[in-house]
Amino acid sequence: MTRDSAEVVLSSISKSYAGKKVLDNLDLSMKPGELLALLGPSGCGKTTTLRVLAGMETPDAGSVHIGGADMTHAPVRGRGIGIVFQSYSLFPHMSAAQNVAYGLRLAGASKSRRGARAAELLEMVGLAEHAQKHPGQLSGGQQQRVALARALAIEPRVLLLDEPLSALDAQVRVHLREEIKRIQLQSGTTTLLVTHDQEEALTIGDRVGVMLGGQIEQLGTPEQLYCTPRTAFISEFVGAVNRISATATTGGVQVLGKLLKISNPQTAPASATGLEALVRPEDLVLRADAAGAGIVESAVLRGAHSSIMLDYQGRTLRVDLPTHEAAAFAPACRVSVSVRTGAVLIDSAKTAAPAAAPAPLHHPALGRIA
Amino acid sequence: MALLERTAAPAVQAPAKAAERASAGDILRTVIIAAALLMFFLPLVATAIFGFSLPGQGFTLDPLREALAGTTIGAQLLNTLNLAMLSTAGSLVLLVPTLLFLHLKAPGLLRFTEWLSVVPYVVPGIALVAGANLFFRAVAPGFMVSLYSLVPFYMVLTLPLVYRSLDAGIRALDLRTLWAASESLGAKPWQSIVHVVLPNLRGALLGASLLSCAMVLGEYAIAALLLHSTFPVFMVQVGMNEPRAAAALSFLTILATWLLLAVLARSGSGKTTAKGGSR
Ligand SMILES: Nc1ncnc2c1ncn2[C@@H]1O[C@H](COP(=O)(O)OP(=O)(O)O)[C@@H](O)[C@H]1O
Ligand SMILES: [Mg+2]
Repeated sequence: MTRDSAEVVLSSISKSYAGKKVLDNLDLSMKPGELLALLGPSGCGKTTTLRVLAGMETPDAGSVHIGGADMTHAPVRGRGIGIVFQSYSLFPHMSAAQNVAYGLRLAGASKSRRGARAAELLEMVGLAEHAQKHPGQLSGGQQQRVALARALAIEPRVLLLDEPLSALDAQVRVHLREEIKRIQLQSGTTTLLVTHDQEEALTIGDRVGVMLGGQIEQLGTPEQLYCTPRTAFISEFVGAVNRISATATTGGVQVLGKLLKISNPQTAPASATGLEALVRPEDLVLRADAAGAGIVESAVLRGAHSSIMLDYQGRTLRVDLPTHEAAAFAPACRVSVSVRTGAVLIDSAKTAAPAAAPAPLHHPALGRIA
Repeated sequence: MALLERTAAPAVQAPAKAAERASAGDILRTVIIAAALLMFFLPLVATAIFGFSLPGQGFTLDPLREALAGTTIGAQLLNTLNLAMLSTAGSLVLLVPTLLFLHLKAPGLLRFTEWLSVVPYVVPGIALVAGANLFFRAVAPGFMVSLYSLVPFYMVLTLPLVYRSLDAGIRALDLRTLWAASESLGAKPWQSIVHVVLPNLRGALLGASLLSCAMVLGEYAIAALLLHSTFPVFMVQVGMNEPRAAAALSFLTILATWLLLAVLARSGSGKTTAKGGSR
């Protein structure tokens, strides 16, 4: 469907607004045809990165290459990109079909070809019967589908999606993100999806880049990010995590009575005390044990798996396990806790009181063991 | 409106005292409105009666006909209509791209330009004319002789209204996003303006045009100072000798201006209902 999907390379991009550094020497490269999700908290510079790539902002330093050509100073219309914006961006005075055909009209395509292509694309996004409606008559989800069809109509080499789903209801959002993934696979267009929703990034990204403070903290497959995050920030940002006190010993750290390797030797603090291990809820194992140090407080059903909330030496721990196994751990039951994995991520203990610390986005605030 | 009626309904069943007080308020309100309408329309009706009647003859167009006989009202009217059209077109051609540029590339300057756009309200017309006179007499003495030398003055004069009307229209759009979308789809700036911005600014453009036309149709001071013969100037000249004809003419002018404003209001409300009715 697409003529060619291009490789994209951003190198050493810096951008400041009024002296405030928004992008700080950022490097990012996308392979042809991949869907790269750019994940980060609000205000970390995601949209700015996208706008630099699109040509709507000029970087203070660094270069933008698309398909091998230097596009740092090329105008937006010369870059071969399609964009879907966070806010609804359909032209209000045009019907859905006219919106989709707009790019082809500018390119001088014949009326019949425009019509055929618009119909084909609206069919692809499942809106064939709404072709004659105006944006005001379409729901938010439908508008974003039309915007996607419109962006794809010009057969872009790179597709940029700036939080296209953030204004939609949860249900529509989940449905539409599957659809975006399907359409992206079908068209094979190199795609950058900007989002602050970790679930969205992990579920549809071929690779995910986590952004913080104008830089890419880590870029990797969803598995790499989730299982071997490079820093504590990433670990907490891409999923739920327990903080458990740890002590450094020769050859690793001691966590819940087990000697484990350190998965982040470069970023781990050097001190031997005041350490915390970051362990995902599904990497903890429970065993009914009358002499155990943990007391089950409650169980939260989450579908196929459940979360057992434990009181462990005064702090709350979350342990995820298959729902049918969770029935064995009733509230007030005593349990012992151990770690399933052989390596953990180590961070220095957070001294702030848990209640005062702002909870990271998108996952429940979890207690930690002092 | 519907809300008002709904909230007013329970008051009817409220205790008699409250109802009495409400009706007393109603009466007061009615009286005030009636008085205001009376004071507003009485002079107007009086003007019309004075202009379109002769003592002992009732309704007649004679005074108007007599006064206009042998004059060149057609030419003056045409002059004024030309001026209105040219000034309006000039203002739009100048201000639409300027405002688009400011909104897209230099939104920080908007506060300054908004302040600047009000200056014509503050500077008296006579100061403007005197200044321009001094300047052009030295630089291009022939310029002020032409009727169309009034166009730039009228563009300055209507600036506050035109600016505000267009600015409000642009603010109602998500201009940055629409522009970026159009641009990413391959549009050159002029294509974005023609295909995306102008169609969505129709209401604001119409409003600005009508306000500008209405203002030029009634402008007397500058034209008179520069010795140009426009319709308002003509009307004043007629009024010197033929008060009845002047009254009739000014009544007709007010009527025409109102019609313009009514068209404006219609186009404005039509746009909002179209927006609100959707979804
Ligand atoms: N045009 C601009 N002028 C000034 N500051 C801006 C501009 N655009 C973005 N910023 C600032 O840059 C930072 C990053 O913005 P953005 O890239 O939009 O973040 P994100 O999309 O990750 O939420 C924010 O602090 C924002 O206030
Ligand atoms: Mg953003």
